[in-house]
Amino acid sequence: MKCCKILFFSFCLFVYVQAFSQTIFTGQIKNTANRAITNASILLSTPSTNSILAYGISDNAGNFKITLHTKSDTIKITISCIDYLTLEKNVVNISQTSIFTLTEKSTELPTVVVKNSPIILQGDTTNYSASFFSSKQDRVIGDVLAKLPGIEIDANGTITYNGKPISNYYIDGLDLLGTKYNIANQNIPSELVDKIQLLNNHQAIRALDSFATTKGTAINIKLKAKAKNRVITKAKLGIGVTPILWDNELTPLNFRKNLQLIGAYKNNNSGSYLYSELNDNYAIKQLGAEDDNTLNVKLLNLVSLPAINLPAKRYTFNNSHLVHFNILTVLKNKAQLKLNVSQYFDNNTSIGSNSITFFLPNDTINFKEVYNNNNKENKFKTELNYTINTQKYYLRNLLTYKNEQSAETGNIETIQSVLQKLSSNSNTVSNEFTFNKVKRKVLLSFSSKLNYTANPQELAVLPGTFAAVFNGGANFPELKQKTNLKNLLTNTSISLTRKKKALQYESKLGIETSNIYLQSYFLNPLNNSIALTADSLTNKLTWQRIKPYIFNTLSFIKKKNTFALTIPIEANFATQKDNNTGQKKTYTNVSLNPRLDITIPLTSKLEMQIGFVKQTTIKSILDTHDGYILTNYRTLRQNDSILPVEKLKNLKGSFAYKNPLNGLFIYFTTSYSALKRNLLLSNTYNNSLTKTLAIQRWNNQYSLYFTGYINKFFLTAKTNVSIVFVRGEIKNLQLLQNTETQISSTINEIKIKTTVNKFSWGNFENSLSLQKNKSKLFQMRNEISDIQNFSIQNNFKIYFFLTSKFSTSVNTDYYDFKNTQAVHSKYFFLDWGLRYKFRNIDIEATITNITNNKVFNAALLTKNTSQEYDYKIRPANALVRFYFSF
Amino acid sequence: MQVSGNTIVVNTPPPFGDKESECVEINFEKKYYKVFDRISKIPHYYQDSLTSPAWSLLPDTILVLNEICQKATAFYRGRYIIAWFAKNIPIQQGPWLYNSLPGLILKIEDTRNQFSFVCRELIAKPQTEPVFIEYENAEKVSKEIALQRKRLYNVDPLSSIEKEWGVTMTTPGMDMNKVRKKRPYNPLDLNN
Repeated sequence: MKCCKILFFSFCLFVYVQAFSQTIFTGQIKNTANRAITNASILLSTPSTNSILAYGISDNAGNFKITLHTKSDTIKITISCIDYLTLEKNVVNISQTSIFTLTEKSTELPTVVVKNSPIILQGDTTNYSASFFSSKQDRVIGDVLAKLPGIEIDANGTITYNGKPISNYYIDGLDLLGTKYNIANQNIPSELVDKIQLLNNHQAIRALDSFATTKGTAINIKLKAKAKNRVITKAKLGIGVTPILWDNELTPLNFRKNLQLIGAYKNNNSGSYLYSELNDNYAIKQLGAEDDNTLNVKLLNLVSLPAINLPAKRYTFNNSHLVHFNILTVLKNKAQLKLNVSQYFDNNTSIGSNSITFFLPNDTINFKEVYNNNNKENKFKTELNYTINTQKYYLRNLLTYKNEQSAETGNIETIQSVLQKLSSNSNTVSNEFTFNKVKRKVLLSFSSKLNYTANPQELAVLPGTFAAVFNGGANFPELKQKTNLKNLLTNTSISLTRKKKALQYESKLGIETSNIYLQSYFLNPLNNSIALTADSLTNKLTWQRIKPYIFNTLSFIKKKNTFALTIPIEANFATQKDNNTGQKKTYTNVSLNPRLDITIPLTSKLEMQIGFVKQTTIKSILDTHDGYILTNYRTLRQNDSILPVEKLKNLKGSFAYKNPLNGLFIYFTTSYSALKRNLLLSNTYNNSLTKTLAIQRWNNQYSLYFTGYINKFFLTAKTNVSIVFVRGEIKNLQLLQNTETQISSTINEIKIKTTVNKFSWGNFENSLSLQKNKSKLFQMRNEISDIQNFSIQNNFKIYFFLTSKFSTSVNTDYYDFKNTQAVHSKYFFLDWGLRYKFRNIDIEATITNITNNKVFNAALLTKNTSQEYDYKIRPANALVRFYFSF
Repeated sequence: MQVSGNTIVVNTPPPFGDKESECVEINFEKKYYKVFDRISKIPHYYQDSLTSPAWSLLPDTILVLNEICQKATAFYRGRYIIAWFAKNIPIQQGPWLYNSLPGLILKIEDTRNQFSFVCRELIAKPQTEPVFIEYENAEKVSKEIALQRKRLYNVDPLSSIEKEWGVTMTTPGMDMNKVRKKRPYNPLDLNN
C-alpha cells in the first residue's frame, strides 16, 4: 500500500513537472581575448521556427540568465552583438550554464543600409520620388506623372488614378489652377519637383472632413527648394521647314509660400495644339448631379471631317497664339485670392474627303464630300476666385467671364460645290458662391450658382439647300440663317447635416430655375435683307423651368463601410411659349428619384462599390422647337411636339484593388442603364439631305458597359505595364425613312502599354491598341445590316543616351484599319530626334513623318452611319528647337 | 538618433503637430536619461533613472525596411505598446526611451492609435566625433518643474511665454479668448 502511495505521488510529481517545466539558461559571453561582452543579445528559439521564445541581454560582466517555458527537446541559442560574428548552437532543453566566445568582425552592419524606397506610404498619402520615376528625356512634370504606377493621362490631359479621375491638383499645397492642371503638367520643369504625393480619401473642403462626403484622390506636387522664392523663366525658340515653321515659348514661374504664379506666351504653326493646356479636367460627377447641359450648346455647325485618332501634330495646319496668366496669393486672414486669365487665337485649316453611307431599312445612301475648311477662333476667359478654407467654415466665390468668337468657312465639293460660312460670338458670365459652416457637430451649407450665356450665330450656305422648303422647289443662290440663344440658369440651395456616431442625416432644400430664349429665322433667299416670317421657318421661343427640390440623405458609416440612401423629391414646372403664335406647352411633374451608394472595403486594399440611381429629366427648347433649324448645310431639324422627357435608371458596380507599395492596381466597373424617352427621332433622307423630326412615342434605350484596368509597376526593373479594356453595347429604336429600326452598336477595345526605364543607355515605351466596332440594324427582329470596323494601332518610342549630353530618339506609329465595306488601309509613321546639351542650352532637332505620308484614311461608325474619310496630314518636316531658362 | 559609445541622443520625433523642441540623451551603462528642452527663457534639462519595459514576445512578424521584425508588447509609462524589433540588428534600443528588446525597434505604436514611430531609413557610418548637442548651457531643473513647463507650453503657449518672459501677449484685432483657447495635451509618458 505504501509502495502504491509512493508510486502515485511520483506519478503526480512527474505530471506536475512535465506540465510546468521551465529551463534556466545561464552563462557568460566573452570575446577571444577573454573579455566580457556587454549588451550581447541571447535569443532562444526552436530549431524549426524563427520565432524567439525568450531572450536575454548580457550585463556589464557579460553574464545572462534566461528562463524558458517550452516542451521542445532541442533549443537553438543565437548570440549576436555589434562588431562580432553571430553564434548559433543547438542544445538540449535542460537547465545549463555555458560560456560563449564570440569572434570579432570588422564590417559594420552592411546588410542594414537601406535606401529610402521611391514609394512611401504615410497614412492616406503615397509619396513618389520624382527623380526615381523621371527619365533623361523628360522636360515637364507631366512626362513624369504619366509614368507613376496607377496613373494614366488621356489625350485631353485628364489624370486618372486606378481608373478614376483625380479630384484636385495642388502645387505645394495650393490650388493655383483648379481644373486646368494641364498648365502645370505642360510647364513646370520636371527637375524642379522633389516628390509627387497622392492624397487618398481627400476632401478639399476642411469643414467637411468629419462628415461622410464623396472623397477622391488628389495630387500634390512638392517642389524642391531651388524652385522656390525666385522667378524662373523658361524659353523655347524653334525654327524649321517645310514650309517655314516656328515654335516659340516664354514661361515665367514663381513659387513662394504665399504666392504662386505661372504665365506663358506660346506660338507655333508646327501642329502643336496649344489650347489643350486650358482644358477643364473635371472629376466625374455623380450621375444625376451633372450641370445643365444647355450651357455650351452650339446650335449651328459646319460639316467638317470627324476627329481622327492621330496626334494633333500630324494633321493640324495651324497658326496659334496662347497667352495665359495665373496667380494665387494667400492673404493675411489665410484667404486665397486667385486670378486666371487666358487669351487664345488660332487660324487653322483642315483638308480632306469623306464618303458617307446611311444604312436604311430598304436602301443605302452613299455620297462623298471633299472639304477645305478654315477656322479663325478667338477665345478669352478670366476667373476670379476668393476662398477661405478652415476647419470651422468654408467660403468660396468664383466669378467667370468667357468670350468665344469664331469665323469658319468650309468649301465642300459634293454633288455640287457648297460654300458654308459660320460665325459665332458667345459671351458667358457666371458666379458660384458656396458657404459651409460647422457648429456643434452640425454642418450648415449654402450654395448659389448663376450662369448667363448669350450665343448669337449666323450660318450661310451657298448655294441654298432644301429648295423645296425655302423656295418652292426652285434653286436659289444663298440660304442664310441667324440664331440667338440666351440662357439664364440659377441654382440655390441650403442644407443641414447632422452626424451622430455612425449615422449622418442631410436635408437639402433648393430651387433651380432655367430661362432660355431662342430666336431663329431665315433670310429671304431672293432678298437677304428681309427675314422669312412663316411660323415653320422661325422660332421665337421662351422656355422656363422652375424646379424646387428636397434632398434627404441618410448615411451609415462604420469602419469605412458606407451606405448612403438619397431620396430627392423634385417638382418640375416647365412652360414653353411660342411668341409668334402665342401657343404654350406646359409640363408639370413631381417625382421621387432615389439613389443608393454603398461602399464596402473587403480588405484594406480591396473595395467594392454599388450604386443605383433613378432620374427624370425634362429637356429644353434645344430639343423641341416648332420652326426649322438648319443645323448644318444638309441637316434640317424640327420638333413641333410635346416637351421631351427622359427617365433614367442606372445600376453600377465596381471593384477596386490598390497596393501602391507593390505597384499593383486593378479596377473593374460595370454599368447598366435603361433610358425611356417620350419622343422618338425620325430621320428622313433625301440623298445627302436629312430631315429630323420627333414623334410622340415612348421608346427605350439600353446600354451596358464594362471597363477593366490593370496596372503593375515592377520596382527593380523600373517597368510599368498597364492593360485597359472596354466593352460597350447600346440598343435603341429609331425611325429611318419612316420605318421602325432597332439599332444595336457594340464597341470592344483593348489597350496594352509598356514603359521600361531601367537602363542607363536608354528607355522605351510601347502602346498597342485593338478596337472593334459593330453596328447592326434590325427590322421586325430581322437583321438587315451588319457593319463592322476593326483597327490596330501601335506606337513605339525609344531613346538612346549616347553620352551625358547627347541623345537620340526614334518614334514609330503603325495604323491598320479595315471594315466590312472592303476598305483596308495601313500607315507607318517614322520620326527621328537628336538632342544635345550645350552649356545651359538644350538643342533638339527633329524630323517628323520621314516616310512622308500625305493622307491618312480612317473610318467612323455611329448607329446607322458609316464614314470613311481621308485627312490631309502634315508632310515630312524638320525643326530645331532651343530650350533654356534664366 | 545618434549613437556614441553608451550615449545616445534622440530628437523626439513629432507625433503630434509641429516640430518638437525636446531632445533626449540616454546613458545605458549608468541607466539614466536626460531630457533637454528650450521652451523656457533659458534651455533646461532634467534627469531621471532609465527603466525597461517588461516585454512579452509574440510569434508574429512583419517586414520593415526589408528586415524581418518580431512582435513584442508591454505596458510602459502609462501606455500599452506594440513594438516590432529586427532580430538581425542586435541593438537593444529604439525611438525615445523604448529599449531592452534583443533587436533594434523599427516600428512601435500604442494600442490606442495615438502615436506611431516607423523607421524610414537606416544609415551605418563610423561615429568618431562627439555627438552634437544643441543645448549647451542648459540649466538643470527638477523633473516636476520641467514637466509643469512642458504642460503649460502645450496647453496654453501664450500663458507659458508670458510667465517665462514676464510680458503680456495680445494680438491686435483678434478675440484673445479664441486665441487662448486651451489645447489638448497628450504626452508620450502618461505617468507624468
